[in-house]
Amino acid sequence: MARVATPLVLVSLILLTLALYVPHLGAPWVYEDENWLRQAPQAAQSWRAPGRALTSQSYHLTWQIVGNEPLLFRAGNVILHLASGLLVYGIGRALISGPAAVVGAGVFLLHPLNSETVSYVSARPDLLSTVWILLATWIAVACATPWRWPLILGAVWLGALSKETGLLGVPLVALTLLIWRPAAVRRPAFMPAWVVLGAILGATWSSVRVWLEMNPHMGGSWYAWPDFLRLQVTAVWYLMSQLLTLQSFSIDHDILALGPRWTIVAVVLTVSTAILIGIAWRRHPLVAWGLAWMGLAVAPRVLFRTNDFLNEHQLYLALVGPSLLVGAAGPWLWRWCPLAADRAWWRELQEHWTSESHGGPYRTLKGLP
Amino acid sequence: MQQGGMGGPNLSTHPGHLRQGSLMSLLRCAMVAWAVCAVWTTDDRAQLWADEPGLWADAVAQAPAKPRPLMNLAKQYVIDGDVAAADAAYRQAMALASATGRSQDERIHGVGLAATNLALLRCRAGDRLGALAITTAALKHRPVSTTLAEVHSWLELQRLSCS
Repeated sequence: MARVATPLVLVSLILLTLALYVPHLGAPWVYEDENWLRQAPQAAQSWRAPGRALTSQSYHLTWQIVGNEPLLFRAGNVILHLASGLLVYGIGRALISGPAAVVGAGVFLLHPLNSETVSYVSARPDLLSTVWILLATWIAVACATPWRWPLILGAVWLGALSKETGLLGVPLVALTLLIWRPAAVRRPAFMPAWVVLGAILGATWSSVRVWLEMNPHMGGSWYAWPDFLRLQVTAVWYLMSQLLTLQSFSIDHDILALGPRWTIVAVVLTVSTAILIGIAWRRHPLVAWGLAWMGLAVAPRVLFRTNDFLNEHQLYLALVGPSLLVGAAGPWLWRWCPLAADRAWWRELQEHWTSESHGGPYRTLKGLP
Repeated sequence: MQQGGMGGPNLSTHPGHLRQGSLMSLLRCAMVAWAVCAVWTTDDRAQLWADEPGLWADAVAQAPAKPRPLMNLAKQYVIDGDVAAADAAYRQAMALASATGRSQDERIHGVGLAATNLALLRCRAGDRLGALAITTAALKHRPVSTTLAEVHSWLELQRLSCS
């Protein structure tokens, strides 16, 4: 039954995603889209690494086909979003279970927090780099081929050529393997080699160095480190809260107006998350992985002091972890009974409760879980 | 309470079991409602992204104290030819950008860009002196946005060449 149901549900999710986005493919350009469009004709000359060559090429290729018409540009975003959703399913299936993976993919595909990334042509770098990182992760956990390491490296490289944050593929793949496939990384030289590789990749990306040294007159932040950290962490949790509350989505959030209460919540959540990752690492790998994935994916936003706070489309990669967490929690909650998770325990309690000879309901709790 | 055939409780009609069942149903209903709400909101957001003036109006409603959404809404008013609304929005954006609690970036670029756009609006209407008055007043804010300084110099040159 599940063999038939899973593909059917997946196809339904894809069709629903298409139904949500396809009617608006031809809408006019929005905000910074025209900046990218202006560069699109020249993109052919900029095919060199490091940089965002792959993203530029994707714009250039689309521009060569349709010129300034937005339809195909947006269709490209929708296709990349569907690819991301399917890869989330693939990773979820390899790590947890089919039903949880389907729900996780559904959350990722249909959640309004991702609508900015899909609808905004300028968010193509986030989409493209996420697809490559997810592909690298999927290969790492689901493909047993001896060619997987070159394939993983190739996918991470292409992710970094889509957007600098694609370099996050290095720590994210390492995190996934450490938690889910520890046998694959048990060789003593593996982790140091992986760290060195990540450092070399990061060092070769000139824009990473530029970001580290960014001053306020060149797109850097005017805030001192503690204030920037406080505000950016608040932004992360404020936007993440929308995952559940489904409210206050916007192209431009006002983090400065959130006030000290949100800062306290954000600090408490950050500390609790760090502790939870440590506690759950062995016993509940999905919880540790989902939260650590989210943390690693937003880390550059906290490390590099840019003049702007987090936007919704910049959370696209980070949402993979929470989506699979919600995906796993969904089927579990569906089966869960609020009064008694264990039916046998509940039935036993009921019997004692109604028995003539019991000495009160609470005595029956002795020895029960 | 209805009793089962063996003298034990009939769980299906036991009040506790009924409560358990109804709580489960409630939880499931809440989950379905959340999923429906999520898809509904995604549809709303996708529609909003197809309408840039609506998108910025929504951003202004979400962040009424932030100057940037208001400036982008003003730009939409200019595109639609509603000069009066654009003028008012740029003025409000200038006031918001220089309000207490806003960032240094907003004080420089927010005030600078709003004043620049306001001056250009006046210029387009043929009121170059009015435009110059706006940039002169905005230049009193320190530090000064480069764009604003450039537009002010250009307006000064225009005034000198006319006089």
